[in-house]
Amino acid sequence: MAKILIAKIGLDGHDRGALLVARELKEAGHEAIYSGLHRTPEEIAIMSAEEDVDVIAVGILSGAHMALIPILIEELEKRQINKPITFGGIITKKESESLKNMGIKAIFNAGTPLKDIVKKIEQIANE
Amino acid sequence: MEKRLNIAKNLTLLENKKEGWKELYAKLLKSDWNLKTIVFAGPPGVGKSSILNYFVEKCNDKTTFLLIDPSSSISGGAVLADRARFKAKNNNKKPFIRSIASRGHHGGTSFSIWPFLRLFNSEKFQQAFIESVGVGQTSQELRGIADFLIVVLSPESGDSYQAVKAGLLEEADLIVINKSDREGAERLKSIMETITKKEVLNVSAKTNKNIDKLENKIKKSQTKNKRDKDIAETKDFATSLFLEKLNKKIKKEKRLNPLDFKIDI
Ligand code: B12
Ligand SMILES: Nc1nc2c(ncn2[C@@H]2O[C@H](COP(=O)(O)OP(=O)(O)OP(=O)(O)O)[C@@H](O)[C@H]2O)c(=O)[nH]1
Ligand SMILES: [Mg+2]
Repeated sequence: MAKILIAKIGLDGHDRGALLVARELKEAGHEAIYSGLHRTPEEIAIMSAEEDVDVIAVGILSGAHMALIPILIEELEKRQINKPITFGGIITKKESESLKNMGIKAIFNAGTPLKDIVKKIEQIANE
Repeated sequence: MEKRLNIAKNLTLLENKKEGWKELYAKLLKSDWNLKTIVFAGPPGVGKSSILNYFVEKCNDKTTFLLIDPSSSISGGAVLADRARFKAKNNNKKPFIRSIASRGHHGGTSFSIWPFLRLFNSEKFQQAFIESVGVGQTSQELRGIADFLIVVLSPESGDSYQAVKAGLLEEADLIVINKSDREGAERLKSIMETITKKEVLNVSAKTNKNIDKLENKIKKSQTKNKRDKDIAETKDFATSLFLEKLNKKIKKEKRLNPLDFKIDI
Protein backbone atom coordinates (compact mmCIF):
# COMPACT_ATOMS: atom_id res chain seq x y z
CA MET A 1 0.00 0.00 0.00
CA ALA A 2 1.33 3.41 -0.97
CA LYS A 3 0.15 6.93 -0.21
CA ILE A 4 -0.01 9.26 -3.18
CA LEU A 5 -0.83 12.96 -3.39
CA ILE A 6 -2.82 13.73 -6.54
CA ALA A 7 -1.88 17.36 -7.05
CA LYS A 8 -3.55 19.92 -9.31
CA ILE A 9 -1.55 23.12 -9.57
CA GLY A 10 -2.38 26.48 -11.09
CA LEU A 11 -5.45 27.73 -12.95
CA ASP A 12 -6.04 24.41 -14.72
CA GLY A 13 -9.62 23.20 -14.26
CA HIS A 14 -9.35 19.80 -15.99
CA ASP A 15 -9.89 17.19 -13.29
CA ARG A 16 -11.07 14.04 -15.10
CA GLY A 17 -7.62 12.55 -15.62
CA ALA A 18 -6.62 13.26 -12.01
CA LEU A 19 -9.83 11.72 -10.62
CA LEU A 20 -9.53 8.65 -12.85
CA VAL A 21 -5.98 8.09 -11.69
CA ALA A 22 -7.14 8.51 -8.06
CA ARG A 23 -9.89 5.95 -8.58
CA GLU A 24 -7.49 3.51 -10.23
CA LEU A 25 -5.02 3.84 -7.34
CA LYS A 26 -7.86 3.21 -4.88
CA GLU A 27 -8.86 0.08 -6.77
CA ALA A 28 -5.28 -1.15 -6.66
CA GLY A 29 -5.37 -0.85 -2.85
CA HIS A 30 -3.55 2.46 -2.43
CA GLU A 31 -4.50 5.64 -0.62
CA ALA A 32 -4.83 8.62 -2.94
CA ILE A 33 -5.20 12.06 -1.43
CA TYR A 34 -6.78 14.54 -3.80
CA SER A 35 -5.55 18.11 -3.40
CA GLY A 36 -8.49 19.74 -5.14
CA LEU A 37 -8.13 22.25 -7.98
CA HIS A 38 -6.15 25.49 -8.15
CA ARG A 39 -3.40 24.83 -5.62
CA THR A 40 -0.19 26.79 -5.43
CA PRO A 41 3.14 24.90 -5.50
CA GLU A 42 3.65 25.99 -1.88
CA GLU A 43 0.33 24.48 -0.81
CA ILE A 44 1.23 21.21 -2.52
CA ALA A 45 4.61 21.15 -0.76
CA ILE A 46 2.96 21.62 2.64
CA MET A 47 0.27 19.03 1.89
CA SER A 48 2.83 16.45 0.84
CA ALA A 49 4.66 16.95 4.12
CA GLU A 50 1.58 16.85 6.38
CA GLU A 51 0.18 13.79 4.64
CA ASP A 52 3.62 12.13 4.56
CA VAL A 53 2.94 10.72 1.09
CA ASP A 54 5.29 8.40 -0.79
CA VAL A 55 4.79 10.07 -4.18
CA ILE A 56 3.63 13.48 -5.42
CA ALA A 57 1.70 12.92 -8.66
CA VAL A 58 1.13 16.25 -10.39
CA GLY A 59 -1.43 16.76 -13.16
CA ILE A 60 -1.34 19.83 -15.42
CA LEU A 61 -3.27 20.22 -18.70
CA SER A 62 -3.15 23.98 -18.94
CA GLY A 63 0.24 24.21 -20.57
CA ALA A 64 1.82 25.95 -17.57
CA HIS A 65 3.91 22.97 -16.47
CA MET A 66 7.30 24.38 -17.48
CA ALA A 67 6.65 27.37 -15.22
CA LEU A 68 5.01 25.55 -12.31
CA ILE A 69 7.09 22.38 -11.89
CA PRO A 70 10.37 24.22 -11.17
CA ILE A 71 8.58 26.30 -8.51
CA LEU A 72 7.21 23.13 -6.91
CA ILE A 73 10.70 21.64 -6.83
CA GLU A 74 12.00 24.81 -5.22
CA GLU A 75 9.22 24.90 -2.58
CA LEU A 76 9.98 21.31 -1.66
CA GLU A 77 13.72 21.85 -1.47
CA LYS A 78 13.27 24.96 0.64
CA ARG A 79 11.53 22.82 3.24
CA GLN A 80 13.84 19.84 2.91
CA ILE A 81 11.01 17.66 1.72
CA ASN A 82 12.47 14.85 -0.29
CA LYS A 83 9.76 13.06 -2.27
CA PRO A 84 9.58 11.72 -5.82
CA ILE A 85 7.44 13.69 -8.29
CA THR A 86 5.63 12.39 -11.38
CA PHE A 87 3.91 14.41 -14.08
CA GLY A 88 0.70 13.73 -16.01
CA GLY A 89 -0.93 15.83 -18.72
CA ILE A 90 -0.41 17.47 -22.10
CA ILE A 91 3.30 17.85 -22.80
CA THR A 92 5.74 17.78 -25.73
CA LYS A 93 8.64 15.34 -26.07
CA LYS A 94 11.18 18.11 -25.64
CA GLU A 95 9.55 19.34 -22.46
CA SER A 96 9.38 15.78 -21.12
CA GLU A 97 13.13 15.50 -21.51
CA SER A 98 13.79 18.70 -19.65
CA LEU A 99 11.40 17.74 -16.81
CA LYS A 100 13.25 14.46 -16.49
CA ASN A 101 16.50 16.38 -16.25
CA MET A 102 15.00 18.34 -13.38
CA GLY A 103 14.45 15.05 -11.55
CA ILE A 104 10.81 14.25 -12.39
CA LYS A 105 10.58 10.47 -12.08
CA ALA A 106 7.95 9.69 -14.70
CA ILE A 107 5.85 11.46 -17.35
CA PHE A 108 2.33 10.27 -18.23
CA ASN A 109 1.15 11.73 -21.50
CA ALA A 110 -2.51 11.96 -22.45
CA GLY A 111 -3.53 8.45 -23.47
CA THR A 112 -1.27 6.52 -21.11
CA PRO A 113 -3.27 3.49 -19.88
CA LEU A 114 -4.32 3.90 -16.23
CA LYS A 115 -2.91 0.47 -15.34
CA ASP A 116 0.54 1.53 -16.57
CA ILE A 117 0.36 4.71 -14.49
CA VAL A 118 -0.48 2.74 -11.33
CA LYS A 119 2.30 0.23 -12.00
CA LYS A 120 4.89 2.96 -12.46
CA ILE A 121 3.75 4.87 -9.36
CA GLU A 122 3.91 1.67 -7.31
CA GLN A 123 7.42 1.08 -8.53
CA ILE A 124 8.50 4.62 -7.64
CA ALA A 125 6.85 4.38 -4.20
CA ASN A 126 8.81 1.20 -3.46
CA GLU A 127 12.18 2.64 -4.44
CA MET B 1 8.59 23.06 8.93
CA GLU B 2 10.99 20.56 10.40
CA LYS B 3 8.65 20.12 13.34
CA ARG B 4 5.70 19.50 11.02
CA LEU B 5 7.63 16.92 9.07
CA ASN B 6 8.44 15.24 12.34
CA ILE B 7 4.81 15.19 13.46
CA ALA B 8 3.78 13.81 10.06
CA LYS B 9 6.33 10.99 10.29
CA ASN B 10 5.20 10.07 13.78
CA LEU B 11 1.58 9.97 12.62
CA THR B 12 2.62 7.48 9.94
CA LEU B 13 4.48 5.43 12.52
CA LEU B 14 1.38 5.24 14.69
CA GLU B 15 -1.00 4.69 11.80
CA ASN B 16 0.96 1.83 10.26
CA LYS B 17 1.88 0.39 13.65
CA LYS B 18 5.50 0.39 12.64
CA GLU B 19 8.14 -0.75 15.07
CA GLY B 20 8.23 1.55 18.08
CA TRP B 21 4.62 2.73 17.91
CA LYS B 22 3.69 1.28 21.28
CA GLU B 23 6.62 2.98 22.99
CA LEU B 24 5.69 6.27 21.36
CA TYR B 25 2.02 5.91 22.34
CA ALA B 26 2.98 5.08 25.94
CA LYS B 27 5.09 8.23 26.03
CA LEU B 28 2.28 10.35 24.61
CA LEU B 29 -0.09 9.15 27.34
CA LYS B 30 2.06 10.93 29.91
CA SER B 31 1.19 14.43 28.70
CA ASP B 32 -1.66 16.16 30.50
CA TRP B 33 -4.79 16.46 28.42
CA ASN B 34 -5.49 19.95 27.09
CA LEU B 35 -6.73 19.35 23.58
CA LYS B 36 -10.29 20.40 22.73
CA THR B 37 -11.90 18.04 20.25
CA ILE B 38 -14.73 19.07 17.95
CA VAL B 39 -16.28 16.31 15.86
CA PHE B 40 -18.33 16.88 12.70
CA ALA B 41 -20.40 13.82 11.88
CA GLY B 42 -23.35 13.13 9.62
CA PRO B 43 -24.38 11.48 6.34
CA PRO B 44 -22.21 11.65 3.19
CA GLY B 45 -22.33 14.87 1.24
CA VAL B 46 -24.20 17.09 3.72
CA GLY B 47 -21.35 19.60 3.66
CA LYS B 48 -19.11 18.76 6.62
CA SER B 49 -15.90 19.63 4.76
CA SER B 50 -17.46 22.75 3.27
CA ILE B 51 -18.31 24.02 6.76
CA LEU B 52 -14.86 23.16 8.07
CA ASN B 53 -13.35 25.22 5.26
CA TYR B 54 -14.46 28.31 7.16
CA PHE B 55 -12.56 27.25 10.28
CA VAL B 56 -9.37 26.42 8.39
CA GLU B 57 -9.06 30.07 7.53
CA LYS B 58 -9.69 31.19 11.11
CA CYS B 59 -7.47 28.78 13.01
CA ASN B 60 -3.83 29.06 13.94
CA ASP B 61 -1.01 26.53 13.90
CA LYS B 62 -2.14 25.07 17.23
CA THR B 63 -5.15 23.55 15.50
CA THR B 64 -5.34 20.29 13.62
CA PHE B 65 -7.91 19.04 11.15
CA LEU B 66 -8.24 15.26 10.97
CA LEU B 67 -10.32 14.25 7.99
CA ILE B 68 -11.52 10.67 7.83
CA ASP B 69 -12.80 9.13 4.59
CA PRO B 70 -13.77 5.51 3.94
CA SER B 71 -11.47 2.74 2.71
CA SER B 72 -12.79 0.40 0.05
CA SER B 73 -13.91 -2.90 1.51
CA ILE B 74 -13.01 -4.50 -1.83
CA SER B 75 -9.46 -3.27 -2.44
CA GLY B 76 -8.54 -1.69 0.90
CA GLY B 77 -7.59 1.47 -0.99
CA ALA B 78 -9.13 4.91 -0.58
CA VAL B 79 -9.57 8.29 -2.19
CA LEU B 80 -9.26 10.95 0.49
CA ALA B 81 -10.82 14.13 -0.80
CA ASP B 82 -12.11 16.12 2.16
CA ARG B 83 -9.26 18.60 2.04
CA ALA B 84 -9.98 19.23 -1.64
CA ARG B 85 -12.89 21.38 -0.35
CA PHE B 86 -10.57 23.63 1.61
CA LYS B 87 -10.12 26.75 -0.43
CA ALA B 88 -8.85 28.97 2.36
CA LYS B 89 -6.03 31.27 1.41
CA ASN B 90 -2.49 30.76 2.54
CA ASN B 91 -1.45 32.37 5.77
CA ASN B 92 1.56 31.96 7.98
CA LYS B 93 -0.26 30.27 10.81
CA LYS B 94 -1.60 27.32 8.97
CA PRO B 95 -3.31 24.57 10.90
CA PHE B 96 -1.99 21.03 10.48
CA ILE B 97 -4.29 19.05 8.17
CA ARG B 98 -4.15 15.28 7.81
CA SER B 99 -6.38 12.90 5.85
CA ILE B 100 -7.08 9.48 7.32
CA ALA B 101 -8.47 6.36 5.65
CA SER B 102 -10.86 4.38 7.85
CA ARG B 103 -9.02 1.14 6.98
CA GLY B 104 -11.80 -1.23 7.93
CA HIS B 105 -12.83 0.53 11.10
CA HIS B 106 -16.59 0.89 11.36
CA GLY B 107 -17.25 3.45 14.08
CA GLY B 108 -17.02 6.53 11.88
CA THR B 109 -13.37 6.93 12.77
CA SER B 110 -10.18 4.90 12.27
CA PHE B 111 -7.96 2.72 14.43
CA SER B 112 -5.44 5.52 14.54
CA ILE B 113 -7.64 8.32 15.85
CA TRP B 114 -6.79 7.79 19.54
CA PRO B 115 -2.99 7.80 19.13
CA PHE B 116 -3.26 10.72 16.68
CA LEU B 117 -5.14 12.85 19.20
CA ARG B 118 -2.56 11.93 21.84
CA LEU B 119 0.24 13.04 19.56
CA PHE B 120 -1.30 16.44 18.85
CA ASN B 121 -2.06 16.87 22.54
CA SER B 122 1.53 16.21 23.49
CA GLU B 123 2.70 18.63 20.77
CA LYS B 124 0.67 21.27 22.66
CA PHE B 125 -2.04 21.69 20.07
CA GLN B 126 -5.15 23.33 21.51
CA GLN B 127 -7.92 22.24 19.18
CA ALA B 128 -8.68 19.28 16.94
CA PHE B 129 -11.46 19.36 14.36
CA ILE B 130 -12.38 15.85 13.30
CA GLU B 131 -14.48 15.06 10.24
CA SER B 132 -15.87 11.58 10.60
CA VAL B 133 -16.70 9.22 7.76
CA GLY B 134 -20.15 10.00 6.43
CA VAL B 135 -22.24 7.99 8.88
CA GLY B 136 -25.15 8.67 11.12
CA GLN B 137 -26.73 5.73 12.84
CA THR B 138 -23.98 3.56 14.23
CA SER B 139 -21.12 5.66 15.45
CA GLN B 140 -21.61 6.27 19.14
CA GLU B 141 -17.88 5.83 19.65
CA LEU B 142 -17.51 9.36 18.29
CA ARG B 143 -19.06 10.47 21.57
CA GLY B 144 -16.02 9.17 23.39
CA ILE B 145 -13.68 11.25 21.26
CA ALA B 146 -15.67 14.46 21.12
CA ASP B 147 -15.75 17.31 23.58
CA PHE B 148 -18.27 18.87 21.26
CA LEU B 149 -20.16 16.61 18.89
CA ILE B 150 -21.88 18.25 15.96
CA VAL B 151 -24.18 16.20 13.76
CA VAL B 152 -24.61 17.81 10.37
CA LEU B 153 -27.72 17.18 8.27
CA SER B 154 -29.10 18.73 5.11
CA PRO B 155 -32.72 19.56 4.24
CA GLU B 156 -33.00 16.17 2.50
CA SER B 157 -31.88 14.19 5.57
CA GLY B 158 -35.12 12.42 6.33
CA ASP B 159 -38.04 13.33 8.55
CA SER B 160 -39.52 12.53 11.94
CA TYR B 161 -38.77 8.79 11.60
CA GLN B 162 -35.05 9.50 11.35
CA ALA B 163 -35.28 11.97 14.20
CA VAL B 164 -36.79 9.43 16.58
CA LYS B 165 -34.48 6.46 15.88
CA ALA B 166 -31.54 5.50 18.07
CA GLY B 167 -28.10 6.61 16.97
CA LEU B 168 -25.82 9.53 16.65
CA LEU B 169 -28.54 12.16 17.00
CA GLU B 170 -29.04 10.99 20.59
CA GLU B 171 -25.39 11.75 21.30
CA ALA B 172 -25.17 15.13 19.57
CA ASP B 173 -24.33 18.33 21.45
CA LEU B 174 -25.63 20.32 18.52
CA ILE B 175 -27.56 19.48 15.38
CA VAL B 176 -26.64 21.58 12.38
CA ILE B 177 -28.78 21.67 9.25
CA ASN B 178 -26.52 22.78 6.42
CA LYS B 179 -27.58 23.90 2.92
CA SER B 180 -30.33 25.97 4.49
CA ASP B 181 -30.10 28.11 1.37
CA ARG B 182 -32.33 25.36 -0.01
CA GLU B 183 -35.94 24.58 0.67
CA GLY B 184 -36.97 22.37 3.56
CA ALA B 185 -34.42 23.44 6.19
CA GLU B 186 -36.95 25.20 8.43
CA ARG B 187 -39.31 22.23 8.27
CA LEU B 188 -36.55 19.78 9.25
CA LYS B 189 -35.36 22.13 12.01
CA SER B 190 -38.75 22.19 13.68
CA ILE B 191 -39.10 18.39 13.43
CA MET B 192 -35.65 17.87 14.90
CA GLU B 193 -36.24 20.33 17.72
CA THR B 194 -39.59 18.81 18.64
CA ILE B 195 -38.46 15.21 18.64
CA THR B 196 -34.84 15.32 19.81
CA LYS B 197 -35.32 18.25 22.25
CA LYS B 198 -31.88 19.40 21.18
CA GLU B 199 -30.53 22.65 19.91
CA VAL B 200 -30.75 22.89 16.13
CA LEU B 201 -28.94 25.50 14.05
CA ASN B 202 -29.62 26.17 10.37
CA VAL B 203 -26.49 27.17 8.47
CA SER B 204 -25.23 27.42 4.92
CA ALA B 205 -21.62 26.87 3.97
CA LYS B 206 -22.46 28.36 0.61
CA THR B 207 -23.73 31.73 1.85
CA ASN B 208 -21.99 31.62 5.27
CA LYS B 209 -25.38 32.06 6.95
CA ASN B 210 -25.11 31.46 10.72
CA ILE B 211 -21.59 30.10 10.47
CA ASP B 212 -20.55 32.79 12.96
CA LYS B 213 -23.16 31.42 15.39
CA LEU B 214 -21.71 27.95 14.95
CA GLU B 215 -18.27 29.38 15.61
CA ASN B 216 -19.49 30.92 18.86
CA LYS B 217 -20.99 27.65 20.05
CA ILE B 218 -17.70 25.89 19.38
CA LYS B 219 -15.78 28.60 21.22
CA LYS B 220 -18.01 28.26 24.26
CA SER B 221 -17.75 24.48 24.45
CA GLN B 222 -15.43 23.08 27.09
CA THR B 223 -12.73 20.46 27.13
CA LYS B 224 -14.05 17.62 29.27
CA ASN B 225 -12.16 16.61 32.32
CA LYS B 226 -9.28 14.27 31.81
CA ARG B 227 -10.67 11.27 33.64
CA ASP B 228 -13.74 11.00 31.44
CA LYS B 229 -11.52 11.08 28.43
CA ASP B 230 -9.22 8.37 29.70
CA ILE B 231 -12.01 5.95 30.38
CA ALA B 232 -13.62 6.37 26.99
CA GLU B 233 -10.24 6.22 25.31
CA THR B 234 -8.95 3.05 26.93
CA LYS B 235 -12.17 1.17 26.29
CA ASP B 236 -12.70 2.33 22.75
CA PHE B 237 -9.09 2.05 21.64
CA ALA B 238 -8.75 -1.40 23.21
CA THR B 239 -11.94 -2.54 21.48
CA SER B 240 -10.76 -1.20 18.18
CA LEU B 241 -7.35 -2.89 18.46
CA PHE B 242 -9.08 -6.14 19.24
CA LEU B 243 -11.49 -5.81 16.31
CA GLU B 244 -8.60 -5.09 13.98
CA LYS B 245 -6.93 -8.36 15.04
CA LEU B 246 -10.19 -10.24 14.76
CA ASN B 247 -10.84 -8.94 11.24
CA LYS B 248 -7.36 -9.90 10.12
CA LYS B 249 -7.73 -13.37 11.53
CA ILE B 250 -11.17 -13.94 10.01
CA LYS B 251 -9.95 -12.78 6.61
CA LYS B 252 -7.21 -15.42 6.69
CA GLU B 253 -9.56 -18.31 7.47
CA LYS B 254 -10.54 -20.25 4.36
CA ARG B 255 -13.65 -21.81 5.79
CA LEU B 256 -15.13 -20.83 9.07
CA ASN B 257 -17.62 -22.40 11.42
CA PRO B 258 -18.89 -19.47 13.48
CA LEU B 259 -19.81 -21.74 16.38
CA ASP B 260 -16.28 -23.16 16.62
CA PHE B 261 -14.34 -19.98 16.02
CA LYS B 262 -11.94 -19.01 18.78
CA ILE B 263 -9.52 -16.13 19.18
CA ASP B 264 -7.04 -15.57 21.99
CA ILE B 265 -7.15 -12.14 23.50
C1 B12 C 1 -12.65 17.49 -21.49
C2 B12 C 1 -11.83 18.74 -21.78
C3 B12 C 1 -12.23 19.91 -21.16
C4 B12 C 1 -13.37 19.98 -20.16
C5 B12 C 1 -12.82 19.60 -18.77
C6 B12 C 1 -13.79 18.88 -17.87
C7 B12 C 1 -13.14 18.40 -16.61
N1 B12 C 1 -13.84 18.57 -15.50
O1 B12 C 1 -12.02 17.91 -16.58
C8 B12 C 1 -13.75 21.49 -20.27
C9 B12 C 1 -14.80 21.66 -21.36
C10 B12 C 1 -14.27 22.15 -18.98
C11 B12 C 1 -12.45 22.09 -20.78
C12 B12 C 1 -12.15 23.41 -20.67
C13 B12 C 1 -11.00 24.00 -21.20
N2 B12 C 1 -10.07 23.43 -21.95
CO1 B12 C 1 -10.04 21.57 -22.23
N3 B12 C 1 -9.96 19.75 -22.89
C14 B12 C 1 -10.70 18.70 -22.64
C15 B12 C 1 -10.20 17.52 -23.52
C16 B12 C 1 -11.11 17.44 -24.74
C17 B12 C 1 -10.15 16.17 -22.87
C18 B12 C 1 -9.46 16.15 -21.49
C19 B12 C 1 -9.84 14.89 -20.74
O2 B12 C 1 -10.64 14.92 -19.80
N4 B12 C 1 -9.32 13.75 -21.18
C20 B12 C 1 -9.58 12.46 -20.59
C21 B12 C 1 -8.55 12.21 -19.48
C22 B12 C 1 -8.72 10.83 -18.90
O3 B12 C 1 -7.29 12.31 -20.06
P1 B12 C 1 -6.16 13.31 -19.51
O4 B12 C 1 -6.76 14.37 -18.71
O5 B12 C 1 -5.24 13.65 -20.59
O6 B12 C 1 -5.40 12.36 -18.48
C23 B12 C 1 -4.50 11.35 -18.86
C24 B12 C 1 -3.05 11.80 -18.83
O7 B12 C 1 -2.88 13.11 -19.27
C25 B12 C 1 -2.63 11.59 -17.42
N5 B12 C 1 -2.98 12.57 -16.38
C26 B12 C 1 -3.75 13.67 -16.43
N6 B12 C 1 -3.85 14.24 -15.24
C27 B12 C 1 -3.16 13.50 -14.37
C28 B12 C 1 -2.91 13.64 -13.02
C29 B12 C 1 -2.11 12.71 -12.36
C30 B12 C 1 -1.89 12.85 -10.92
C31 B12 C 1 -1.52 11.64 -13.10
C32 B12 C 1 -0.65 10.66 -12.42
C33 B12 C 1 -1.76 11.51 -14.46
C34 B12 C 1 -2.58 12.43 -15.08
O8 B12 C 1 -3.29 10.39 -17.10
C35 B12 C 1 -4.56 10.31 -17.77
C36 B12 C 1 -4.74 8.93 -18.28
O9 B12 C 1 -3.88 8.66 -19.34
C37 B12 C 1 -8.76 18.00 -23.90
C38 B12 C 1 -8.23 17.52 -25.24
C39 B12 C 1 -7.60 16.18 -25.14
N7 B12 C 1 -7.95 15.32 -26.04
O10 B12 C 1 -6.79 15.91 -24.22
C40 B12 C 1 -8.91 19.52 -23.86
C41 B12 C 1 -7.70 20.38 -23.53
C42 B12 C 1 -6.94 19.79 -22.37
N8 B12 C 1 -8.34 21.71 -23.12
C43 B12 C 1 -7.69 22.68 -23.54
C44 B12 C 1 -8.12 24.03 -23.32
C45 B12 C 1 -7.30 25.10 -24.02
C46 B12 C 1 -9.24 24.32 -22.52
C47 B12 C 1 -9.78 25.71 -22.21
C48 B12 C 1 -8.73 26.79 -21.89
C49 B12 C 1 -10.67 26.10 -23.38
C50 B12 C 1 -11.16 27.52 -23.38
N9 B12 C 1 -10.56 28.30 -24.26
O11 B12 C 1 -12.06 27.85 -22.64
C51 B12 C 1 -10.70 25.45 -21.00
C52 B12 C 1 -9.94 25.68 -19.67
C53 B12 C 1 -10.68 25.24 -18.46
C54 B12 C 1 -9.86 25.41 -17.18
N10 B12 C 1 -10.37 26.17 -16.23
O12 B12 C 1 -8.79 24.90 -17.06
C55 B12 C 1 -6.43 22.32 -24.33
C56 B12 C 1 -5.15 22.55 -23.52
C57 B12 C 1 -4.06 23.11 -24.43
C58 B12 C 1 -2.68 23.09 -23.83
N11 B12 C 1 -2.38 22.48 -22.70
O13 B12 C 1 -1.81 23.63 -24.46
C59 B12 C 1 -6.75 20.84 -24.72
C60 B12 C 1 -5.50 19.97 -24.86
C61 B12 C 1 -7.51 20.91 -26.06
C62 B12 C 1 -6.66 21.41 -27.20
N12 B12 C 1 -6.14 20.51 -28.02
O14 B12 C 1 -6.47 22.56 -27.36
N13 B12 C 1 -11.68 21.16 -21.39
N1 LIG D 1 -26.42 24.52 -1.73
C1 LIG D 1 -25.46 24.21 -0.89
N2 LIG D 1 -24.54 23.26 -1.21
C2 LIG D 1 -23.58 22.95 -0.32
C3 LIG D 1 -23.49 23.60 0.94
N3 LIG D 1 -22.45 23.09 1.62
C4 LIG D 1 -21.90 22.15 0.81
N4 LIG D 1 -22.57 22.06 -0.36
C5 LIG D 1 -22.26 21.15 -1.49
O1 LIG D 1 -22.50 19.81 -1.07
C6 LIG D 1 -21.57 18.92 -1.69
C7 LIG D 1 -20.87 18.06 -0.65
O2 LIG D 1 -20.11 18.89 0.19
P1 LIG D 1 -18.95 18.32 1.15
O3 LIG D 1 -18.47 19.45 1.98
O4 LIG D 1 -17.96 17.56 0.37
O5 LIG D 1 -19.78 17.30 2.05
P2 LIG D 1 -19.25 16.28 3.17
O6 LIG D 1 -20.31 16.14 4.19
O7 LIG D 1 -17.92 16.71 3.65
O8 LIG D 1 -19.12 14.93 2.31
P3 LIG D 1 -18.37 13.57 2.74
O9 LIG D 1 -17.07 13.92 3.35
O10 LIG D 1 -18.19 12.85 1.42
O11 LIG D 1 -19.29 12.84 3.65
C8 LIG D 1 -20.64 19.80 -2.52
O12 LIG D 1 -21.08 19.81 -3.84
C9 LIG D 1 -20.80 21.17 -1.87
O13 LIG D 1 -20.53 22.21 -2.77
C10 LIG D 1 -24.46 24.62 1.25
O14 LIG D 1 -24.48 25.24 2.31
N5 LIG D 1 -25.43 24.87 0.31
MG1 LIG E 1 -16.11 15.65 3.56
